[in-house]
Amino acid sequence: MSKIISVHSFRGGTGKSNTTANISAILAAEGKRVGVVDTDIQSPGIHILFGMEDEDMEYALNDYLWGRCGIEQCTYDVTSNLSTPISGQIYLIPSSIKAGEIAKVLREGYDVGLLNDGFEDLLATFNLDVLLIDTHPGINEETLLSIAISDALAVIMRPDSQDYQGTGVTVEVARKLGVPQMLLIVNKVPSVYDEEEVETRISETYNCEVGAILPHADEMMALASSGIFALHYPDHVVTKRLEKVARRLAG
Amino acid sequence: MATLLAVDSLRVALVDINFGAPALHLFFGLTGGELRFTLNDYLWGNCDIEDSAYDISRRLRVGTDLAGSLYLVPASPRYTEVRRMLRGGYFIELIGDSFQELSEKLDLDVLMVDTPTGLNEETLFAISRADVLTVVLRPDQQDYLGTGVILEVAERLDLPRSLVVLNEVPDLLDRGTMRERTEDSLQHAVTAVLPHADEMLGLASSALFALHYPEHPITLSLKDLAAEIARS
Repeated sequence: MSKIISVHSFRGGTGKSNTTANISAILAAEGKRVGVVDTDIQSPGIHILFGMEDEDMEYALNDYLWGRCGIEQCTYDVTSNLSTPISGQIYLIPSSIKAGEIAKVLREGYDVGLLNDGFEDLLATFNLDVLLIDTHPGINEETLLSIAISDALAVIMRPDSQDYQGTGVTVEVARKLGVPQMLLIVNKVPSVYDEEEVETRISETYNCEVGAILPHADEMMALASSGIFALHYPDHVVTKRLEKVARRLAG
Repeated sequence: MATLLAVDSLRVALVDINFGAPALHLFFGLTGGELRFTLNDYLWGNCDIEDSAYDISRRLRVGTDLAGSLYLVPASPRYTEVRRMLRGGYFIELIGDSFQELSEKLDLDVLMVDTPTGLNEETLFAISRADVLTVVLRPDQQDYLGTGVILEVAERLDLPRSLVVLNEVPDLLDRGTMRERTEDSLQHAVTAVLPHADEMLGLASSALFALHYPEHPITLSLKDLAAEIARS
């Protein structure tokens, strides 16, 4: 049975897209067929992590939402773009990076229900084991829909008071929408912090399980979204923890 | 930057229009419970704009007296109100009215607007009304791409001036090189390059860096940047 997993964060800059891309690569490296949808229409970018250039993007999710193409026409097999050969497959549905296309969504809107139909078509057409949804930070319509139809939700946060408060809002929304499984991922934790203490404090604050504590990694910053960290640094502690949380979300 | 301008004797208001992820009030130690009225209330016609403006000149956590004044107009952090703001939740032109009324009633020198991430109605609207736009990015491929889009939009909207700030540059990268690379990628000048600072992470957005670390290189750069913006 296939599984839909949403990845969300209340604020921008938490490492949401990076985490989504890494989880997808980890699962695909285990032989799974993984779909990744960029529903961050207002600030897209995950396609960069998969080495996709703007000019390769004949159709994007935006085109599907306006009825210009079928969902399979804006789906790209990016498996061969990865720095390391893997046994599974990654199918990416990118959002358009053209200013005019983004502005069109704002001006004209679209039928959010189409997103739901698109997700179902994707699962069936590409015979996916897992569909990962990268959302826009904060609360908006795409995010609410994605969370509502997901089997699992990963909420990314940094140990920062802006994130603390906002994550509370996200957790509340997810509970109201009845997501079966929810895990918090605490990212960019400074090395001086006591990880156990961070984990205890956060799991108690939200009454929600912490799926992973990811220490701040200079290597991640140096990579600067030009590739998938887990493939570049397979033995790094961040990769090991991402593997664990990826299996839990997909399991 | 708003606080630094107020320290420097200007009358400044800071407006949070990030309705989907409000958080600016946290830097000034304001909790959700203290916010009787917010910008949301103004947009819904529940209050006058001055009811949603909090004078925070005297409540900053570090004992610095401001020569000027600092007002915060927060966005509501209450979940039901965040949801109500989703598409169709208010008339966008009212944000323009709020800027106008704030400037007049509080006799402002500078009105600074904190926008949501990415391209959206609020951001477009704020850019269309601004005298100067500051775009902040990190040295990251995703940010280069998105910043390019925002600068393109600003140009189309005939914005008088756009400043680019490169933030969180890791120590292991040379700042001069990063500036050049960013300028090449964006085809736009970079006004400031700010290093990654562990002290900033330690503060964890619970207070203002510039007041806690008044002599830190980041604070000094922010001061220059703020002055540049105020002159525009």
